[in-house]
Amino acid sequence: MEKIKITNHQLGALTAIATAGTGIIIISGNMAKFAKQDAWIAAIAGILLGAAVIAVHIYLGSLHPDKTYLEIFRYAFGKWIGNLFILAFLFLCFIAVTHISHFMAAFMVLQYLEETPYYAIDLLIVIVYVIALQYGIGTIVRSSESFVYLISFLFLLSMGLVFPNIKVDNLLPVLEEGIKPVIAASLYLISYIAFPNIVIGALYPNMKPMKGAGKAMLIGYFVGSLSIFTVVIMSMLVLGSSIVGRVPFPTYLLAKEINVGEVLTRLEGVVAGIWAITLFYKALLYFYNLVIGTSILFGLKEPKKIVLPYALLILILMNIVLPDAFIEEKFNTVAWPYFIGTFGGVMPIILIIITKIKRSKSTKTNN
Amino acid sequence: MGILSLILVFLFDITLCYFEVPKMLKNKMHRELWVFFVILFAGTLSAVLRAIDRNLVPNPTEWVMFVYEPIGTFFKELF
Repeated sequence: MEKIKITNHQLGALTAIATAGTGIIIISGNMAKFAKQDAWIAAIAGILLGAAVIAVHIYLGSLHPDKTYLEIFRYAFGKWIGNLFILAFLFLCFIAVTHISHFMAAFMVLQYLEETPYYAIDLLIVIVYVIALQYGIGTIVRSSESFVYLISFLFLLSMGLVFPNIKVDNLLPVLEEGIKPVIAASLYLISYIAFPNIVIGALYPNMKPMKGAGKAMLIGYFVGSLSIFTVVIMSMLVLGSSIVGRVPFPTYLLAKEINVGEVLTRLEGVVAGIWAITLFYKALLYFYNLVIGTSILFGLKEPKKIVLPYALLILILMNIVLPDAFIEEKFNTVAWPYFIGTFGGVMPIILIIITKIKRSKSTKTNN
Repeated sequence: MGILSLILVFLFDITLCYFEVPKMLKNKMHRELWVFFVILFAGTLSAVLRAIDRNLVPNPTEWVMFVYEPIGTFFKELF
């Protein structure tokens, strides 16, 4: 929206929050479904593989330091096909905003505000997005910089206090069903922590020289994924894979186990707060991509004008997109990983190859 | 309940147009105006459909599933 330079520290903080994002409270459940007690091995493998995905994103950004991810589409495919890809990516962003906001609202209704209608909570969530986007990307990244310390402190507190409850037997037997489920679980993990980081591609033109920024993104990624790893292994150690695979919010249940001398209890609220903050930033990044992408697609000068109409559309569709748990489960296992994988994993590689070919051609003709 | 929400949505539309449209016309931002109206119309339309019956609103999740479900099932059987 505006040409604000993001410092590397801010970029790292934003990447860390976006990486922890949706996964931090639900990922261990889905991974336990695939790999049972070996989910922690899958987490290590997934995090290392995800780092390669982030490296691809960084390399793509360093090839086009003055373009957003969406403008690279136009550069690579030309105007018409590029616009089609931009439209598809906007659709992805829209789906993601509505889904993530729905997760938040569903969590609130399920755990705290049982008799509140969905739209009351949805409205509050959407209002905060609108306020944040009207302030602009500079404010968003600066606030993420201050939130990352608060989140880290609360996260370490809750994970440290649950540590006395671990049972190492829960991790045995190792690799009971061979390596295949572990690979499946780690690929699933990447679709949560690595591919979605392509939304930071909208900030490429706002970054400082790409070399330091790439380092900051990698560090942020590892900080965020370390929290994911902690959540996975702690929920395996404390609750065991059979429980983790069955509950909708395993980390929330994990924090319920905290009981220090009958005094310090109910820390699950802290975990819910962490999740609310990380989810908010993730949805906000998708929303930012949606607004920026629309203005790139139609050549708008003032993207902020279309924030409020989009907010209405998102508010209404938030309750429509996931009508029941069956569709949610199905979408999250057979559609979403491949949908985000197309744009976060495969597409950056294709774009890099096309850029390389185009550049080598243009240098040849110059000679 | 549905009527009340609809009135609120229309009130939102009218207020938003009242404040934004003159500004955009003054600054000659015709493209912005078009996109603004299309998105606002989509939002209002889905609100009206939602008030009549929630099954009338098209669900974008199903469109994604339509495209990606065959790919997803293929990979799921692979593992």
